[in-house]
Amino acid sequence: MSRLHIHIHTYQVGHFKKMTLLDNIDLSIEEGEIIGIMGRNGCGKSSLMNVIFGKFKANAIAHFDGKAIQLRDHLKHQLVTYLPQDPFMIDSGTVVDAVQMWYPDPEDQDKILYEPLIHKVHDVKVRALSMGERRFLEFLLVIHSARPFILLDEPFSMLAPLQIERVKEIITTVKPYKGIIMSDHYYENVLHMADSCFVLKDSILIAINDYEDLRANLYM
Amino acid sequence: MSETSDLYSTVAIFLTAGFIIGTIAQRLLHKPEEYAFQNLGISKLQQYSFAYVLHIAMALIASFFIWIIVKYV
Repeated sequence: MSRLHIHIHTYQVGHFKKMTLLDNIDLSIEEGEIIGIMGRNGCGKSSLMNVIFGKFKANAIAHFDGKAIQLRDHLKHQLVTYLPQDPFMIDSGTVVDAVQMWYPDPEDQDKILYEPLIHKVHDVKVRALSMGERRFLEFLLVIHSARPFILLDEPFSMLAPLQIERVKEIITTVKPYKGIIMSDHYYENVLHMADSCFVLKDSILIAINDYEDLRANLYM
Repeated sequence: MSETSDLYSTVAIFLTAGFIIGTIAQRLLHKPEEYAFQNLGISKLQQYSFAYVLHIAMALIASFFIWIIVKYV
């Protein structure tokens, strides 16, 4: 099982008045493991994922199977796929076009196009999809990526109950060969699915086990 | 200044402006899609080059129509 270890010394925001959003964060994830991250709005969950994804520049070091890598050098290591919380798909084509762009191999395309909740919208333009359908499609595109580590930022938000159940099933299916870091305010789902959970509070990660810990850390 | 060097200056300005406008357009209009590009392993250079080529293509098409209008209308 491959392991990705990340240590973020600091991540600061602001050009003139600097504010430390992430401080001395140590996170290690292995394929076959799900890590849940919770926290109040604006505490830095998405920034943490953006740093791991290599989008945001931070004072950080990372190791993949003991070998040092640069998180920002994502074209070289190609280890992490990210589902951001905002829509990110190019919306001019149809659902089939989008799937073909992401997955040239027909076998890979079938995993998404034969998904029952997507099947009926094959020929619909991405821009015409409802928010829930679009979000579910984005989740499918990301979760079936060949990269070993997946970041899911609010994967359950905007989804209908049926879609949420399907998302949980798919995550369970891919879990044996993926390392997944997920963050969501549907804390029951995250606590239920994750092998280990953390609350991001005051720029640091605090390990938690149950609802009581969430309350103790003022998340609930 | 000769007509030839005028032409070269015009082409140089056209290409430079195309590059700058293409880059800015890429930054402003396609910010959300950058996550898709990064997930797909598409580099910034490829993104900006595509925006640049697209801009030049659109500008050439526009120039063609302007030429038609000037010549025949």
